[in-house]
Amino acid sequence: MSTISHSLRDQKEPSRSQIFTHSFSLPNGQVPLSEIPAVLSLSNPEDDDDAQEDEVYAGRLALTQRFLCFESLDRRSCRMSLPLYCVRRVERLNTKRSGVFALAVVVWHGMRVIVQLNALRTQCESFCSLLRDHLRAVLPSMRKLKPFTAGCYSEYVLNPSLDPANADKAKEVGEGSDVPEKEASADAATTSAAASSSSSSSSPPPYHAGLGARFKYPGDARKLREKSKMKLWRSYLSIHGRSLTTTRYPQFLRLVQVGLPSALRGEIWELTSGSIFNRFDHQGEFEAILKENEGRKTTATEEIEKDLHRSLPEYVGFQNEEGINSLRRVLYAFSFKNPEQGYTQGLNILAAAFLIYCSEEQTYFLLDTLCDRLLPGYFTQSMAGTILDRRVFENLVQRSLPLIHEHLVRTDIQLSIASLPWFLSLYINSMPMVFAFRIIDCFMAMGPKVLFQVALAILKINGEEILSVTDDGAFINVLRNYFATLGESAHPEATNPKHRNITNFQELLVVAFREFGVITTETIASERKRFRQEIVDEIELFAKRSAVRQLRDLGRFSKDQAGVVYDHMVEAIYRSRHERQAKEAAAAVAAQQGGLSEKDKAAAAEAMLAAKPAPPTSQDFKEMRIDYETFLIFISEMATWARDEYIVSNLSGLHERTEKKVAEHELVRRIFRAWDSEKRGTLSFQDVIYGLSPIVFSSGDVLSSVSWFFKLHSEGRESLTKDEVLRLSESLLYLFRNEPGEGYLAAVSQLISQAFSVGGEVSPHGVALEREEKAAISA
Amino acid sequence: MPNPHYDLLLKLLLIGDSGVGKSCLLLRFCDDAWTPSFITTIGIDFKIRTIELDGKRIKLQIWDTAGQERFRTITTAYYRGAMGILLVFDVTDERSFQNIRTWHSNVEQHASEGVSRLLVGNKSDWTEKRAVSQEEAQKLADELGIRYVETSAKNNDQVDDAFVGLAREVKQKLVESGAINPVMGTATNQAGGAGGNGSVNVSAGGQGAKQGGCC
Repeated sequence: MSTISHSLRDQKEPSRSQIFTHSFSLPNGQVPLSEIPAVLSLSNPEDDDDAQEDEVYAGRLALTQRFLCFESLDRRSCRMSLPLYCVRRVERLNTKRSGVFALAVVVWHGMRVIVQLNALRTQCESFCSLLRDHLRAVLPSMRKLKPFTAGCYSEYVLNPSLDPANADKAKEVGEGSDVPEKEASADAATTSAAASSSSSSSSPPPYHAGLGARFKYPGDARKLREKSKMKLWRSYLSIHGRSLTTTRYPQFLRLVQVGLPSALRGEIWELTSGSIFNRFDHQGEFEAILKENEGRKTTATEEIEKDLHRSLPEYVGFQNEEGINSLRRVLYAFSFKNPEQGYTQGLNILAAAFLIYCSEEQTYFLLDTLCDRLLPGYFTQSMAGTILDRRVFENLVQRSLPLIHEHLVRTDIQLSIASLPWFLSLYINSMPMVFAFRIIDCFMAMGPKVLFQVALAILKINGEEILSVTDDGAFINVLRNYFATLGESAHPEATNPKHRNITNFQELLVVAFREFGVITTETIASERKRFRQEIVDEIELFAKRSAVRQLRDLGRFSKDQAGVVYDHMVEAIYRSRHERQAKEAAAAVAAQQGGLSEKDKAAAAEAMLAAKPAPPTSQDFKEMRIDYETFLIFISEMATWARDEYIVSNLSGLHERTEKKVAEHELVRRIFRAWDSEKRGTLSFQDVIYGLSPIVFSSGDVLSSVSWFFKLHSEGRESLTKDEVLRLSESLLYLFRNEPGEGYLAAVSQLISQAFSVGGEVSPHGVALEREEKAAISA
Repeated sequence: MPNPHYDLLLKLLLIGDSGVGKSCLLLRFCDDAWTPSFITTIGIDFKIRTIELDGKRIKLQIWDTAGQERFRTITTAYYRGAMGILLVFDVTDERSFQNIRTWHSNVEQHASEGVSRLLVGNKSDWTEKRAVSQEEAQKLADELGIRYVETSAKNNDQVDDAFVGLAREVKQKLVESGAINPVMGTATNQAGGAGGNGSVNVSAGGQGAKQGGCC
């Protein structure tokens, strides 16, 4: 509970370009380079020329470094994030009408995206030339496309004959469909599961598949209408693009909201969350990271080991070594990639859940996207994101369900007891899995607001019962009972069979999206912004208190004073991190600007994308420790002698400010070494407290200061060698370098000559000369 | 909601490192079951069991918390409602024992003053892997001024003793502090006649207990 605040403070509000990348689910770093009004439609080679599809949308077309993005004007109906490396060619269409500027973007599988640019000719032309440049720059990525798409299940949905698992399955299904519905339901599910497991265990499928492909997906396939859902998806994908090229048309969200078919679920999650683009850009990273860190043991891996058998233990895939090993590899790799974040409980449950529908590599990248943008800050050391969203949720309840809020406050029931696991485990820990997965379907496609909408709907639907409970145990029970009946009819008394068939779960989604549709992505963003500082302060205070409380020895400091030292340390760590990052960024920019042409630059960017991530540092993040670089910053804040101050004035000379700079000297390194009690090359908070205590509280007691200073230079011995006397003198000169007058210089040189004339040994008392100077240090 | 037939509601809390068996102890005590693989507790969870103490029906509401260190910022918020706290470690895991001090200082910081505490060494059945001796644990318990119980959720050894013992201590404290005595009296009387009234009084008793703890 210590290195909390720095990463926390770094969590900034998303910038405008980040909001853009998030809304199109693009990888980080993509920025809109050019935007232009456009009209978009799709056509496929198989279609007749005048395609029956009447889906033409007006909106805006944007080009980023690696993507062509489109969003319809209503910001809902149509959206496309087309990677440029999927584009085979771009044709200028010969439109008869003059003044019409249209392009056909042909993607690798033949689908044509027709965009008509609605702007001045010159604008259109400059957009096109920019597009041309960037298409050229992604050429190296195009080569990776074929093997990548070959691993996507959608290819096998569209072309079932490719799937080796289908040869015998087809027979099975053919027979099964003749059986009358009533008796078949349970049987069909088990036999088809058995068939798929027997066929795939002999040879793994050629596409990315989850444990469910072998161990059966949760839920009854017939009840879930898997077959008809798959059929709908097949027809959707055949028209609107597949895997990387899937374009969102209105039908898309409807298909997501009725629940994804199990076999396609992993890929659609990847697509809607955008993690598929990351997986494309970082092919091989997952395996590489595991190989690099083979056999490595960290705090995180220890914690992961404890949880491997405690992640969805009721699912059969995790009752054997195969599933457990998959989970281990994903969680290990993820912790190695994010050493500072390490491992947080809850990730095990999410990873296990994803593994049912996704391959290990897919899961790894999904977790990455999840932690990076869908659940930002949830699984960090401080869990600040979790705490922030808890606050945001409480506030939303107060605003939209004031009666329930008042009741909970009055009865002292903590809402978060219930809501925390909802958010941290995406409802998997609270609801039967089949329902949780449907919420996840929506969450991946529509973002974090879904979690809030569903949570509010749960409270609203159970409002009456909640108002009748008076303690938190009963409160939780109401919700538990509700979750247990999600599959039951919401209107069992209804005479209309259609009404009777509506389940509690369906009703939940309706309430969530209809009544709480007003909760938008923007609402969540602005609420988070509102409470962020409050939460940061809260967590920093908690961290400080517990760090101070856990000190073995406060020295002569009071708790409050130790807290001040803690603040300085945290500040130093924060500054040092930023200085390092700034340096690295500057170096990267310098490396890129070595007289490169536009094209080379793009290629360099491409190469950087492909480059391996930096090797994880071996630092243990559990305890707050500072290294020498950070210590320099720390000490320069604490002591005037450890910094140089410059007066800087602005151009007009009217404003002046003082700039501080770290003044490095051997003395500082000496102090650092002396305080490093365990000789680890870093200092703990306790080390700093121990080290500071005798200095800070020595004022008036000159002798002890002198003796401290003496010991610092004698490496703990009782005497100083000649060399050490010179070092000590240098240190003194360093300390007094900013003092006016020649007095100190004279005193120091007198000290040297006296020390040398007295002989090899100088007792601490022999250095009485610089008593006054010493007093100055202590002050 | 079924009508709760009890004279007193006590809230207990389980804390301790991840993987020491908090959830398993709870499962054993409340459902008399055991499983080697229990889903990780995310945040906080609870179970209920009603026991009889000196002729009174006591409803125990036992809260189980996530053990991972970083969850403390979150879970300590739930300490204050607890009347009794079980500090659990794993006798085969030295570090979980070392961390008891930190857990204890968390209790002192965040729980109501005067809360009853109990040190629990779980997994006592695993003799060949034992890393913390009974003497060591007893010494720590003495130092912290609390009782020590060694349990095995797997073999159902002393699990009831741990929970019931702590409940008894909590109840005793409440009686001594005078927080529940009169209420308990009426509660028992009425519970004999009408259960509905009893429950109303009990919640008042619970409130009183909390206030008693604060002063």
